[in-house]
Amino acid sequence: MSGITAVKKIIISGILLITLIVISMLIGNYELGLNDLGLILSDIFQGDLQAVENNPDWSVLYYIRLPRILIVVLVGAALSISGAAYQNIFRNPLVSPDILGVSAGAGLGVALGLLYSSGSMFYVYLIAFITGTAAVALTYWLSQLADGKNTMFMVLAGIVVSSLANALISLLKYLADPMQNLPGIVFYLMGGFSRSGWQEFYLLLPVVIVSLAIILFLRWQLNIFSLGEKEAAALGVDTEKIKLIVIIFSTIMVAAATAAAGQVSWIGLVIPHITRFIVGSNYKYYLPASALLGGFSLLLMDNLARTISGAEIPISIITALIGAPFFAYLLITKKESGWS
Amino acid sequence: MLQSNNLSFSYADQKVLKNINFRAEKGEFISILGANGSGKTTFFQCMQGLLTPDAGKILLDGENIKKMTKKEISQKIAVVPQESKNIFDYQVLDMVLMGINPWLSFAEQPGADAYQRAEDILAELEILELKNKSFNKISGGERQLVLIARAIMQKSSIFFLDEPNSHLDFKNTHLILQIMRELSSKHKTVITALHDPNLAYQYSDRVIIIKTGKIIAAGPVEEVMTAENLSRAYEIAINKDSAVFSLTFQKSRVLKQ
Repeated sequence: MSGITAVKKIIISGILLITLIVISMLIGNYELGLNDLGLILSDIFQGDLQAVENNPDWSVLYYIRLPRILIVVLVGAALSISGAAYQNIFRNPLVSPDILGVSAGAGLGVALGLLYSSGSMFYVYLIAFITGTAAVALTYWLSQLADGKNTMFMVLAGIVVSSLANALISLLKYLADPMQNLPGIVFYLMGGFSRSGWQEFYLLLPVVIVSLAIILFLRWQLNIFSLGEKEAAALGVDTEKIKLIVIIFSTIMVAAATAAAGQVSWIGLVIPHITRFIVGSNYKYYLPASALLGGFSLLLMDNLARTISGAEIPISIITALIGAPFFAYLLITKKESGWS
Repeated sequence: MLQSNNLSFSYADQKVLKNINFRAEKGEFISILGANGSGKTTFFQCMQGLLTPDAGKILLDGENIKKMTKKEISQKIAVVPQESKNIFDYQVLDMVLMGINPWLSFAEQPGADAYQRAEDILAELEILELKNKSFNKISGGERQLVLIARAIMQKSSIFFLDEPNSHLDFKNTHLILQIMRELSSKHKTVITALHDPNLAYQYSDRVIIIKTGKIIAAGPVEEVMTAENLSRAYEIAINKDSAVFSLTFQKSRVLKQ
């Protein structure tokens, strides 16, 4: 490890994230400067809530930008942590929510929920979780049937499951009313945060916090787990229990992220890689750093999505345009990092 | 104390272990010899509670291993795997710390005393300077030493080693076996599978020879390691006066200088 300790790197990531959050509050069509922000803060500290309420800057900040920013950070953290957790559980640095088929599975659930749950977001989350779990279970089962030890088979099984789920999503789109439902499903799944409000935030927050906390509690056992199930068992790890808990809570996070923001690809693969490169594999540092960097990166991309052009660009386009070439770069330059 | 009574195991319809009776006492150094595919690894995995035998009983300190949890077993048995690189790299100190896991409750993290102990063990094995290095980047011999440190960290009384020297050079092979010999003199039980009869001859108290899932000879080194038994086990002709064992003695003299 070069010079700076892992703890310091995590603190730096945290400071970067907070700085970016403040900058993101000021970005957008409605002009807001640091001094406007200061004015609102001083009104709040002086207890002049009336003035705050009447300030149009506050409305933009509080009702539009702040919930969106926080949701982006939560989704980025959730995707990146679930990617990190899947990689250890399956002992495979190539897996991610996208590659295991969880994203597509959860996307199928979101489409089903949007069509048939009469607008209740709770059911959209619930169905997304069920189909997401089914997808990861199917991927795991298929890869075990083919060749349990070969890491490539899991990637291939994930491709099979993703295609299946995406085909079902297409079927739902085809069957959906082209005037009423189709555009909604299409834009929802392409991903974006334009509809993010406090209601969505309060639905997402507990899901991410609880799942994150549980995975963090198991960080030590996750380290040992990555040595292989036999070796972990010989060190007294209850491998079946750890596997079940971590897969369930990772999948819950992906499902919630997909329900909140659509299919956001690549974050769950690329960010865990970058994080491992920066702080190493010890989950004690790796998990918090993944969460912070996941939130940071997605927020950066969302800022691009809403400022690059007059209309907002779906987030999955941006994450793929940046994530795919970046991963190609990692593939080419980091050959020795144990991928086989 | 670890023992098996009439242990049998099969994969599908192939019988891999047949009526194995085995007993390891405190402080013994036992080597298991046998050709490739003779069932040594399966035997080990049964004795470690990782595989459930079809028939027979395994007793660990008088308790049926089938009824023990992985954690309970790992408090009494430490396994030293063959050294290999990890998929995800960890620091040496972290690798050693993982050995304390059997003594932690679910989701508990190792405390300051565990860190101290890990450093003490590394110091005792004279590899403290490796503690902040990455496990994948040290040499194969060093990795094997780290895995032994992790096994010592486990505070268990029985050590299993499955061909610990398979990736090691001559010097490291003897270093590792000498450390294990020392552990057995401190009342730890060492059970190791070895490919090289010379090494078994040199380090063990007792030797067990397995052939196609059966014990064909067991007992003190001098009694068991005869040319007859070895040629039966490996199906090669061994001349009693051949250089097999004398070569070892020369080697060990080289090492001690």
